[in-house]
Amino acid sequence: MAQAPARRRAPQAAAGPRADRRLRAWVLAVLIVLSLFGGRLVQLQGMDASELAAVALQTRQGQQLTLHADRGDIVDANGVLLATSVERRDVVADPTVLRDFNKRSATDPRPRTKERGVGFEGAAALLAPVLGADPAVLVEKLAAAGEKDRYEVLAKGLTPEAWREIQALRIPGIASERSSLRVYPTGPAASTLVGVLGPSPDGTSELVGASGLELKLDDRLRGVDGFERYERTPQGQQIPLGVSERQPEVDGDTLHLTIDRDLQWKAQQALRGVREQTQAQSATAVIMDKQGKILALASDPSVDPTNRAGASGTSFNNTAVTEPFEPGSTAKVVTLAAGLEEGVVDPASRFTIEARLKRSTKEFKDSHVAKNPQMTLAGVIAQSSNIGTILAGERMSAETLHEYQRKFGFGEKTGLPLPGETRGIVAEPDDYSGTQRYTVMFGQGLSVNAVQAASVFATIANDGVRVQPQLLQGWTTPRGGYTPAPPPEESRAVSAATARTMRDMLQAVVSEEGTAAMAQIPGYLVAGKTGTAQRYNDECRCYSGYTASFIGMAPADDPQLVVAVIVQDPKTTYYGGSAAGPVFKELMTYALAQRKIPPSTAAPATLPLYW
Amino acid sequence: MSQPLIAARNASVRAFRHRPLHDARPALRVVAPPAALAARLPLPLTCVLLLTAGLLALLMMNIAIARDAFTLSELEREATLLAEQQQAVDEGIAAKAAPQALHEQATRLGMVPAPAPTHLARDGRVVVPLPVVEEPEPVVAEESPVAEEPLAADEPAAAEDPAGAGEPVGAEAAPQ
Repeated sequence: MAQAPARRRAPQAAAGPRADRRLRAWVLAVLIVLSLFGGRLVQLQGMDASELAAVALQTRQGQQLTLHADRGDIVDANGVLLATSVERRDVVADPTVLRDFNKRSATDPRPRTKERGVGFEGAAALLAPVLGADPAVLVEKLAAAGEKDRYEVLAKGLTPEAWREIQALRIPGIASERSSLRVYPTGPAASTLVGVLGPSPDGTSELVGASGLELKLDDRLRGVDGFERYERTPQGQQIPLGVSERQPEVDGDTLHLTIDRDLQWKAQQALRGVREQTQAQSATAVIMDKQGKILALASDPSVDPTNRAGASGTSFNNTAVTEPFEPGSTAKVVTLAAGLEEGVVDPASRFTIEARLKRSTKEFKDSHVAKNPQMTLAGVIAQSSNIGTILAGERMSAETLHEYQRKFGFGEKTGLPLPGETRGIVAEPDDYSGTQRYTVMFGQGLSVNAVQAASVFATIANDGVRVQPQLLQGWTTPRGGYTPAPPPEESRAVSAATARTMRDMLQAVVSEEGTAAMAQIPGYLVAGKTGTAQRYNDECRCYSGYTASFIGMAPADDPQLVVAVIVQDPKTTYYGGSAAGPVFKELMTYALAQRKIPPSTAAPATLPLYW
Repeated sequence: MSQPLIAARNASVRAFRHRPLHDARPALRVVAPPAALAARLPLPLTCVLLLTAGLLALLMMNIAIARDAFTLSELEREATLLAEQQQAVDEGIAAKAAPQALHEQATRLGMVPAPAPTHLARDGRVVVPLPVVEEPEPVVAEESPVAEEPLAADEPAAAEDPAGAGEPVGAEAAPQ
C-alpha cells in the first residue's frame, strides 16, 4: 500500500522539472502571442484608431456627390418663362475599358465575335445611333486617346432620355456627367434684355451670365451647390442608419420682370422690320406704363441665344440703355415744359418765326420755312420749330433749363439692372461751348439713352411725377417666398397742370398740322413728339447720319402707355415722323388692344397753332 | 453618507440600546413561501424569452428599415425619371408656346393678325377702328384738320461742324 503511492509519486517527481519547463514554455509562447495580439490591438485601437476609422468610412462612403443647384428662372409679368435651365448629360468614355469591349448587349444576347465588332468598333456601333454620330468618328476619338488616358468626352448636351437609352446598352466604361443647358423660349426677341450665359472667367466649366440680366443679376440667379456623402454597400445602396452627411443645394432665385413677353416679341419684330426697311444701323423700342414699369425693352440687331456663332459683340447689348444718342426734338418737351412751369410762356404765347435766327456765333434755322410764321407755343411744338423753341427757352436762364433736364432724369442712370448703361452726357451750363446754350433746347449737344427719353414722356403722362423706371418686379426664393423689388423713387418734375397742358400741346404733333400725322391711332387721342437729330458718330468723331425717333403716349386724355421708338442711322428716310412714326403706331395699337385700354372719351384738345 | 442617513442609523442603535431587556421577542415561526411565485415561469426562462423577443423585434425592425431604404431609393429613381419627363414636356411646350413659334404656326394655317377692335363706349357710341382703306376718320375722330396739305417733310438742315470734335456735344444742327 505504501509502495504504490510512492511509485506513483516517483514518476511525478522525476518528471517534475521537465513538465514544469514545458508548461513554462507553453505559457511563454501563449503570452508572446497574446502580447503580440495585444500590441497590435493597442496599435490599431489606441494609436491609429481615428486614422483607420476615417479610411474605413471613406471606403464605405465613396466619393462626395455634388448636389447641383439650379440656376433661377427669369419670367415675365405673367409668369411666362423667358429663361430656364434644363438638365443635360455629357457622355464620357474610359478608352482603357472600351478597348476590351466584348460584352453582349442587352438587346442581343448572342456572344460577340470579331465579325460582330469588339473593342472600340463594337462599342461605337452601339453608341452611334443614340448619339446621332458617325461610328467612325467615335472610334477615331477613342483611338486618339493615349494609352493611359481614361477620360474622353464623346458627346455633349444629351437629353436625360437619350442618356437612359445609353445606360440601357450597359456598355462598361461609359459614364455621364451632369451639365445644364439654359433655354430661352423667346429666342432673339428678348436676348438683349434677358442676356445669355458664357464661360466663366475663372476657367471652370461652369457657365455664368455674360450679358443682360443674366450678367447683372448673376449672383441672385446662381444657386449654391450642395454635397452629399453616405455609407453605402458595394452596390451603391445607402446603408440605413449609417453615417451620412448632407448639405442641401440652394437653387437660385426666380426673377419676375415687368416685361410682357408678347409685347416684347411684337416690339422686336417691328424693329427688325423697320431696320431692314430703312437700312438702319440699329433700332430700339421702349414700352412702359406711366408708372415707369417697362413692358418691353427691345433692340435690334439682337443675337439668337441658341445659335451665337458669328454674333458680334454689340448685338448682345440692349441699345435701350447702352446707346447714348442726341435726342433731337423730343427734348423740346423738356424745354417747353420748363417754360410752362416757370410761367415764362403759355400755350397761346405768340412767336414770330423768322427764316433765320442769329444767336451766339451761329444762325439757326428750321427744317422748313414756316407756312405761317405767326405761331403760338402749341404751333411751335406741332411744327417742331427750332427757332420757336429757342425764343421760348431763352426766357429762362441756362441754369434753370439745366435743372429741369436733371429733374426729368437726363444725365442720371435709370438704375435698370442691365449692364453697360450709359448715363448720357448733360453738360453743366458753365461748361457750355459756343452755341450749346441754345442747341440743348432742341436736343442737340446733349445725349440720353432711350429709357431716359421715354421716361420724360412717362413723367408728362403721370401728371408731372417722375417714377424711376422699373424692370424687376421682384423675385421668389426656392422656398417659395416672393420679395417685391423696392418701390421706385418718385419725384415731381413739373406740376400736374403743366403736364396736362403739355399733353394737349403734344396732341397737335399727331394732328394733320403736326409732323407725325402717321402716328394717329383711330379712336385714341395720341400725344407724342418726333425727333430727327444729327447723329454723333464715334468712329469719325463727327456728325454723320441721323437719329429718327418718335415718343408718344396714349390715350392722351388719360395716358396709360408710353412707346418710344428710336431708329439709328436710317438710310432710306431719316425723319422721325416717317421712320419711327409707323412703328410707334403699330406698337401702340397692339399694346392698347392687348392691355384692353378703352378708347379716348374726351374731345381732342384743339389749341390754336397760329395767331 | 448623507446626514439624515447617519442620523437614522444612530437613532435605531440608540433605540435598541434603550429597549428594556425583559421585553422578550415574539417567537419565530416559519413563513410559507408565497404560492404565486411557484406558479410563475422560472426566471432564466423569462430572461431567455425576453431576450429572444427583443432580438426578434430588433431583427424585424432592421429588416423594415432596410426594406424602406430600398423603397426610398426606388422611389427616388422614379421621381428623377418623372422629373426628367416633366422637364422634357415643359421644354417642348415652351418651345411651341413661344411667340415666334405661334406666329409661324398661325401664318402656316393662314391666320392673320387681328384687326384693331371695335369698342362700344359707355355712352353708346361705337368706336370703329380705321380700316386699311383711306376713309374719313372713325366716329370719335378729331376735329377735321385745318389744312389739307400735309406739311412739307421736315428736313434737317445741313450739319455744321461740331463745336468740340471728340465730344458728342455742341452741334448746331437744325433738326425738324
